[in-house]
Amino acid sequence: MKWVFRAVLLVTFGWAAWAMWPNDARRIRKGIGQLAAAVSFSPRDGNIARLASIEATISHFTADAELQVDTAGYAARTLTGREEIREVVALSRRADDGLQVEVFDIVVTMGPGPDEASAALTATARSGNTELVAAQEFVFRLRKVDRRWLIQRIQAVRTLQK
Amino acid sequence: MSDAELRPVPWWQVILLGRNPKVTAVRLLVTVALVVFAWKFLFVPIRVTGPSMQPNFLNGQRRYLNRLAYLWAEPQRGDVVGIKTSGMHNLFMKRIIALPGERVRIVLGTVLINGEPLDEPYVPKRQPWNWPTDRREWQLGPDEYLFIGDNRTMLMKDHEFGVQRRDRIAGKVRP
Repeated sequence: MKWVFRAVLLVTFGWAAWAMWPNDARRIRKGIGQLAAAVSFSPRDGNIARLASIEATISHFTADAELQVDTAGYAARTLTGREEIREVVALSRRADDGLQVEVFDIVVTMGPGPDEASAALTATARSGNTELVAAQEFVFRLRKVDRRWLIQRIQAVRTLQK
Repeated sequence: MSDAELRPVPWWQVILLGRNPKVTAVRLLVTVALVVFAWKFLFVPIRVTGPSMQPNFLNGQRRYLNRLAYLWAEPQRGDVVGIKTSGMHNLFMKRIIALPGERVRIVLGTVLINGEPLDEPYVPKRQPWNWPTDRREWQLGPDEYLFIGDNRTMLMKDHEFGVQRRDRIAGKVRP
């Protein structure tokens, strides 16, 4: 039985170390997940909660962040800087049905610089209880600022080129 | 044989656990593992969302994606396939319209492959799409396919279609 106990102990320590000291790729995935949660809101949220979620969203971006959106059915648009992003996020909060954003299949690539990374991912957005509203591929460029990975650029990617 | 082995197994235990519960447990585990493996890697269950494949695939319908379909065979024109995004969680479901190396163009809703109109019995009604918008033909690369949904009653700007490489094809959708 001794070896079973040792194996369980080893696995527990390994898991604890993995959970307590995440590498950069895991930090980035976690940050993107937090961003999706911050962008999402429920129609039941009060004004203070909505304001807090706007600030939480903005905190994931660098001051010079750039957001390029080019989704089928919508005009292509580029937002530059935190203030423009804040305005658009605040506008989205006027939707009556709320918004649920989820991210999937995040593929993180470190580099080219030591404090740079990129992440390819797919995001889905649902409004209220409706079916899937939109699924869109994105590429995020991230930069490490004060030991925190911030988004420098978001670019929408068309899965099908035309 | 011991007394325990000779003792008759109650009928309820035979129904619930089998004559030998250990063997039943192993069988159950193997069955679950096989089903999970098949659903994850061979025949992936998918749910259709959105109108782009109507009227042949309706919103909310459930289908299977055969991931082995193109292991030994090349994708064919007319196949309905799943196209990967950044991974397998969200797939685009479209029909293969043009194959690698072909020249393609859409004029007033009719697809022209190498200048010849394509018969598309799966498209009952269509809007007068024109593509590419510069009126030239699109030359597909050696590894590229053109994918379009069956619902051509949509406006072209609202319909997600276009070109992608073969390695983005996740499998063939079983009709």
